Amino acid sequence: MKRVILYILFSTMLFAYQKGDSVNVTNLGISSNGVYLVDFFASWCNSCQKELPLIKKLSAKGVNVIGIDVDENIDDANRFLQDMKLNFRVIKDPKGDIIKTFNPPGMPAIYIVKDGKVIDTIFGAHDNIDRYILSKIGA
Amino acid sequence: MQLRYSIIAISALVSFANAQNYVSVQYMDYDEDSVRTTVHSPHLELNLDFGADYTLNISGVIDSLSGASPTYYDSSSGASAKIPKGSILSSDIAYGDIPYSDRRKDLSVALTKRLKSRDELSVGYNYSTESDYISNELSLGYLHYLDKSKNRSIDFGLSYQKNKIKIGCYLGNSECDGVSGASSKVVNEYSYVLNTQIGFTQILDKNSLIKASLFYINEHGYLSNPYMRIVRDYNTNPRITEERKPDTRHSYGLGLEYDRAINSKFTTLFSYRLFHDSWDITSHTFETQLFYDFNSKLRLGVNLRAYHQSKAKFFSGKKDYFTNEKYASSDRRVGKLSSYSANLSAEYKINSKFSINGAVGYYKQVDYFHSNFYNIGFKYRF
Amino acid sequence: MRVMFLIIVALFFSGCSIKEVKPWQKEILAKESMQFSGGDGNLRKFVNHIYFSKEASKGGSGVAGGGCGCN
Repeated sequence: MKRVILYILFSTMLFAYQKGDSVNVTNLGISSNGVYLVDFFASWCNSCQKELPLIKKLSAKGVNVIGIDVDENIDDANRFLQDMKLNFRVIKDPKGDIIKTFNPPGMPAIYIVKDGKVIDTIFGAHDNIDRYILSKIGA
Repeated sequence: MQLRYSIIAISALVSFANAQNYVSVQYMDYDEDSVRTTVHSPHLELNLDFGADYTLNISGVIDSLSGASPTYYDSSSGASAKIPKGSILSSDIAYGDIPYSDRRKDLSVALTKRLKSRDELSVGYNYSTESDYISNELSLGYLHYLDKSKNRSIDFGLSYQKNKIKIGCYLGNSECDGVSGASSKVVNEYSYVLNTQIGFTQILDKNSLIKASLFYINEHGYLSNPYMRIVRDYNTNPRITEERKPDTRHSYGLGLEYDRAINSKFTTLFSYRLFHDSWDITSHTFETQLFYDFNSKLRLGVNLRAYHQSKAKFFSGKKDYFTNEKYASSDRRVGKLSSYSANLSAEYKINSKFSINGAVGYYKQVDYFHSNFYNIGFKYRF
Repeated sequence: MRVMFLIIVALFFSGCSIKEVKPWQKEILAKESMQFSGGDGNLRKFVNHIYFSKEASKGGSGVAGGGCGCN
């Protein structure tokens, strides 16, 4: 019994989606085929704000992007989304239910998901994020 | 370097970057009632990010100062900082305000590099000049995260400052003794300041954090104020002479801070600083800051501060005190004193890029003077 | 004063329970109002300089900022 409890505790503490992991695609409403970009951001995250215009560019080029706004305050999220005028689907995650399952170590957090599996992750601010992602997905 | 007050950053943190491009324009005004000191201070700051890894911060300020500062002088020749030759009549020794005016220009540049680990390394340079004072400073800061979630960090700061003090020989200071044609000459003195600090920050939960820091400051060189006067041998052979502070000063202390958001609108911050130096000055500083976010556009702030210091071992405010002591000062800033201050601030975000701000403040040094100050400005984020 | 100092330090470190905060839970901690400067470092510098030029103490709030002939 002790082992089970320790295992649950340990696995909960350490679990985070990494390269090669399968993603619960139904949770995100995406298809199990194709390449998707899952981008976690929030209004209070300056680096996220800087990256989002570049992510918009990718979306305009046909890359499937799913945005996850993790603002706890829905009004902040709405105001932010209105300002950013994003051209891709955004799921609001005020209670952190979705991001908890991904458990990224930093913000912004971007997961490149191909055929339901994580093929790359980008945590924290990154120069020329659009070009970097394009090089990863081979578009 | 007059007997007076000047404004610009001395206590700014090593500028750890906050990943934002902005320009900030501020105007500050200070007015002191008892000695009629006024300072007008326009200030410009530019913060620029270069990619995700570099941030450059540049700021400049020009202070225009005028007013008067208190010290001893020979009333028979008017209110002047010039040291009278020989002994004078004790009835001619007055304590009062010596007028001054000056302009100070200051430029600071700081570059922050974020490493792959997201630790931050900052280097800074500061240059400031006054009619009788030039200062150059180099600083270095390093912020290191101690855990993966960035909930705990340690930071190190180090700066080295070289100051050139230009003493006008018309003041009659002993530094000019032996200088031929002294009255029209200027003698340069120097002081050096090494400032070190180590800090620790721990996030306690989603709403609160604590900070603790230790600091040590070493100053050496000419640490006196060339305009400050004392009275020696008042009861036998009264003379007004220059003050003399020790040529070295070791200061150290501890800072503690606790910041807590009560809810999404109301934030409270508390800090305490203990300071002690080799001149025997010990001080305690308590400060609290409250912020209230009325809505997403308007934030109000209240700051309250209380301060108390003990006197330096070579200080006396009595004019019949000093005789032949090597170190002697009547500069009341190194005497026993208490002060209180309060300020109110407001920031209004017109939109996501542009905000305006203002503040009014009151400072009282018990038994001596009080002053008022205000600040208005705007910030544009891009 | 020594007793007062010890009380302050004891209060500071007592009752500090630490809960891990995830990167996406730092909305409040990221607010400008969680800093004494409130996001306006210039006002903070300005006010600190009043204290510095009128009192004998220094230090504790960073190492940079430049010199001044006001003290």
